[in-house]
Amino acid sequence: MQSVHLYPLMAFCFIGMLLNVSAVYAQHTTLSGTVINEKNQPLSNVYVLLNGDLYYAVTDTNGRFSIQQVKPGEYTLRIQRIGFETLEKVITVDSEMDGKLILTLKPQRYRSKETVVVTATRTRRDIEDVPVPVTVIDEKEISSTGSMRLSDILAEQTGLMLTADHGMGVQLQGFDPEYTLIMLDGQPLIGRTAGTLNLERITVDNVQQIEMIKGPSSALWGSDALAGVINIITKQGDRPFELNVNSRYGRNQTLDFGANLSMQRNDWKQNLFLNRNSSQGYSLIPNSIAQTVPSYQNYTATYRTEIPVSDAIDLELHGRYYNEKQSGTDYLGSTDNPTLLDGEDLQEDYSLSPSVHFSLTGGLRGKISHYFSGFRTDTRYTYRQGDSLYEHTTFKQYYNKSELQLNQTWNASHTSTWGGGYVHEQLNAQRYPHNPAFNSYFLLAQHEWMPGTRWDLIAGLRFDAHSEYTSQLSPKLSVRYKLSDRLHLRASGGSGFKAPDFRQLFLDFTNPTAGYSVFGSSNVRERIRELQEQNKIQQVLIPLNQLEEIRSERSLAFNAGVDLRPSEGLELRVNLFRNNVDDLIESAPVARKNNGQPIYSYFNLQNVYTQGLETQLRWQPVEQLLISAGYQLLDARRKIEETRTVQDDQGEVVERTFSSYEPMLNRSQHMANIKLYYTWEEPDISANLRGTWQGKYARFDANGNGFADPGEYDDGYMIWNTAVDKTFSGRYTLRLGVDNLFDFTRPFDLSWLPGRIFYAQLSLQLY
Amino acid sequence: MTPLRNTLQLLSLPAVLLLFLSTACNDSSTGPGNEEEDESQIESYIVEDIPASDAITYYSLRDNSIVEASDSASTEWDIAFSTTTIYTNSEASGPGDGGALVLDVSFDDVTIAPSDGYSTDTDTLLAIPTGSGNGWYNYNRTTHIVTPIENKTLVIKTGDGANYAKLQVLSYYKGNPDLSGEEFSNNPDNYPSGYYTFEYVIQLNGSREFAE
Repeated sequence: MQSVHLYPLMAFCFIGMLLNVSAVYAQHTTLSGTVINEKNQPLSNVYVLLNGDLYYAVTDTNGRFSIQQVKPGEYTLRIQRIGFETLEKVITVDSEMDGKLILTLKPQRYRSKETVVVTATRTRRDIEDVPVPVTVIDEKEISSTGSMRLSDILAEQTGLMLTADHGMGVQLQGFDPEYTLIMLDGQPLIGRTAGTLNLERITVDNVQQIEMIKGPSSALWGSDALAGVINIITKQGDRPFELNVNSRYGRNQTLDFGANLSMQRNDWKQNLFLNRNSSQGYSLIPNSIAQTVPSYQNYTATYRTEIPVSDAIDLELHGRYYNEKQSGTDYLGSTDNPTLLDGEDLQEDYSLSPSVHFSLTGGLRGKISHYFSGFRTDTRYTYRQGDSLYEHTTFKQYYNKSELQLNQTWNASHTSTWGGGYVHEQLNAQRYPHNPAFNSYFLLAQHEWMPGTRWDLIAGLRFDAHSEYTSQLSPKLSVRYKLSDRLHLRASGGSGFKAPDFRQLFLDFTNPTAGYSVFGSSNVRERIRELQEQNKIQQVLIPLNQLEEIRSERSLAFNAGVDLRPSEGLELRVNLFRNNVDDLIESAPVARKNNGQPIYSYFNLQNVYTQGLETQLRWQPVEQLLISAGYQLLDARRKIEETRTVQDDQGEVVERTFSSYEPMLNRSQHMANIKLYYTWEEPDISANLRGTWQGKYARFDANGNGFADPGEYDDGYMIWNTAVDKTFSGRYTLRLGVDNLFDFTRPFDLSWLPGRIFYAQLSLQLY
Repeated sequence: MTPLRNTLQLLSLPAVLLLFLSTACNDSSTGPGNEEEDESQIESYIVEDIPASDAITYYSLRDNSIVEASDSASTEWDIAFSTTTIYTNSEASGPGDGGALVLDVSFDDVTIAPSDGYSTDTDTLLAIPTGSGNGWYNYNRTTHIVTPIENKTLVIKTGDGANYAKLQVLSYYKGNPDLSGEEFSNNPDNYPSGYYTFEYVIQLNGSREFAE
C-alpha cells in the first residue's frame, strides 16, 4: 500500500530534481571578457565587480577575466584599476555573451571627470552641479606631490597662505586660521591653540579628497565656518580586500609610514589605517639654543566601518586616535648665560562617531549621529641641571554632538534638507579654574530647487543658540545658471559666524611676573567684584553694568563666478568675493589693579573687510601634459577709528574722529601658482614641477599702529617643488622628489619652511 | 651730537625797532598771544642724537643747546628727555611756565600754534603723555622697537612761557637708522636706543605763527 503511494511521490521528486538540475544549467552562466586600455592593450589586475562585491574577478596578464555561476539578468558591472577611471556599466547577462564582453578603461587624469562632493549641500552631489564653488584636491594630486600632512598640500593651493602661530594654520580669503572650519569626514576637528588648529596633526596618507568651500558656510556648518570650510574625506576601499603601504623618507630624518587595509564582504565595509610620522626637526638659525622646529614623532590610527542592517538601514562608525610627542630645548635668561630647560610636549586627540543611516518611503532619507571628541595637551619643562620641574601645564577639551539630519527628495526638481543637534563642550585646564562648559543647539533647513536643467537654486537657514552668548541666525542663498555647456555662472550670498571661544568667554589668567590679568567676558564682572571686595581694584574703566554681552563675530559675504570651458581640455574658473566682517573680538582694558596693572577682557571691537578675485586655469594641450595655474588678488583691510587732536581754521585745538580702512598685516595682495604634470604612459612614469608664489606681505608692525604701512613689507618669494615617479606593474610606485628646490628660507618669519628637502617615497598596493 | 643749524633768520634793525615800538605801545599783550605786528623770528633746526637713556637731558629750544643739569631749577630749559619720556618745564617738572599739547597733524601742516589747550606736567599726567600710542611714539611689544608716530606734532610753550615751538621726533635710535631696514635688524647693537633725533621750528617773537 505504502509503496503504491510512494511511487508517484518519488516520481514527482525526481522530476522536480531533474527540472531543478536543468534549471541550473539553463540559468547559470559564466560571465567572461577582456579589459583593455584605449590602445587595445590588455590590462591586468583589473577588478571586475558585479552588483557590489557579490561576484568579482581579477584580470590576468592577458586582460581576461571570468565569473562563474552567474544567473542571467540585469547587473551593474564595476570595473576598476589603480590609475584608471572606474567604469560602471549596466549589462544583461545571458548565455550568449560568454567571452564576448570587451571593456575599455580610460587612464585617470589628475582630476577625474566626475567628482562628488558633500560639503556644499550636506548630500553627495556632482561638483559641476552645485551652485557653491567647491575646490577639490583629489587623491592623485595628494600622492603625486608626495604630501604627508594637510599643511603640505594646502600650501600649494590658490589663495591659501600658511601661517605659523601655535601650529600651522591657513589663511583663506584673507582670514586668519581661526575663521575656517576644519572637518574630518564631516565632523569638526577640535583642539585649537590660540585659534589655530594645527594642520600638521592631520595625515593625508588615507585621504580620498579634500573639499574646500571659500566664503561663509555657517548656514550649513555653523560656527567657525566664517571664512570657509575644509572637509577631509578619508578613503573607503572599494575592492573586497585591499592593502596599501606607503612610506617616505627625507631630509631631517623625516620618516612617514602608513598602512591602509580595507575589507568588504556582503556590503559590510571596514577600513583600518595606521600612520607614523617622525622627524628630528631642524634649526634655521645657526648656534641657536632652541631648534626652529623641535624633534617629534606622532601616530595616527583610524577605523571606519559600514554595516548594512537591512535594505533601509546602514550603521556607520568612525574612530580616530592621534598622539604626538615633541621634545626640545628652551632657556631662561639671556642667550649668553642661559638656564637650559628640557621641554616635553604631548598632544593627543581622539574621536568616535557612530551613525545610523536610514531611508524611508517617499524619498525620505535620514541620519542620526553622535560625535565625541577629546583633545589633550601636556607640556612639561624641567631644568636641565637638577632635573626639577619648571612648569607643567595641561589642557583638556571635550566635545559631544548629537545630530539628526533628514533629506527629502520631493521630485526631480525639489529637495529639502533639515537638521538639528545639540553640542556640549567642556574644558579642563589650569587657566580655566571652574572647568567651564557650554551648551548649544542648532536647527537648519535647506531647500534646493532646479527649475529646468539650467537653473539651480539653494536657500538655507541655520539657527544656533548658545548658553553663553547671543544666538545666531545664518542664511545663505546660492544660484547656478548653465548658460551653455561651455559657460556656467554661479553666485551666492550668505552670512558666517564664529562663536566666542573658551578663551574669550572663560579665561582666568593672571601673569605671575608682570601682574596683569585677563578675564573672559563671562566671568569678568564676577572676578572684578571679587577683587573689589578685597580692595584690590584702583579704578574701574568701564562701569560693570555697562559691559555688554559678547557677540559672535559675524560676516556677510558675496561670491560670484564663471566657469568657462572654451574647448576640450581647457577650463577657466573666475570667482569674485567680498566679505564684510563685524564684531571681531579683541582684548581691551576694563579696570586697573592696585599694582597699577590692567585687567583685560574681550570685546567686539573690530570691523574688517576682505575682497578679491580668484582664478584657476587648467589646460591639457596634449594627453600627456596638464598645466594648472592659479592667482588670487586680495585686498584685506581693517577699520582704524581714532579721535585726533587737530586744528581749526584759526589754529585752535579741536577733536575730530577719523575712520579709515587700512591694509591688514601678514596678507599678500598677490598670490599665484603654476603646476606642470607630465605622464609617459608607456613606461608609466610621471613628473611634475610646482611653483607657488607669495607676493610681498607686511609681517611686523614696526611702528605699532595696527596696520601695514608701505615701509613694513617683506619681499615676496617663490617656492618650487618637483617630483618624478615610476609605477611598476600598475601597483608599485617609487617617487623621488625635491621640495623647496632653490633652498629658500626666512628663519624668523617663515619658521615652517625648511631648506631644500630631498625625499624618496615608495607606495605599494599589496592587494 | 652737534646741533645742526638749518636756517637762521637774523633780525634786521628796523624790525627790532618795530618790535620795541609794538611792545611799548601795547602793554596788555605780554607773553604768548602777542602776534600782531611783530616781525617774524622763525628758526628751524634738526637736532641729532640727544642722549636720554642714562640721565635726564635738559634742552633749550630757544638757544638750541643742551642745558646743564645744574640749571634744571631754572626757566632756561624748555624740554627734558628721559628715555621715552619728554618733560616740559612746568608745574611738577620745573619752575617754568611751559607746557605742551600734542596735535595729530603733520609737522608741516602746523602753521600756527593754538592759543589755548596747553597742558602742564602734573604728578599723575605729563603734558606729553607717556605710553605706547599716547604721546609721540608707538612701542611694539613683539619687536620692542620704539617708533615715532607719523603726523604727531608737539607744540611746546617755552620754559619762560614766552614762545611757541613745534617739534617732531624723528628717531629714538642713535644715528637715526631706517627701522624697517635689514641693516638695523641685523646689527641692532650699532644703533642703541635712547638717542633722540628731532626737528623743530620756534617763533621767537612771541607770536603763534610758524610760517611767514
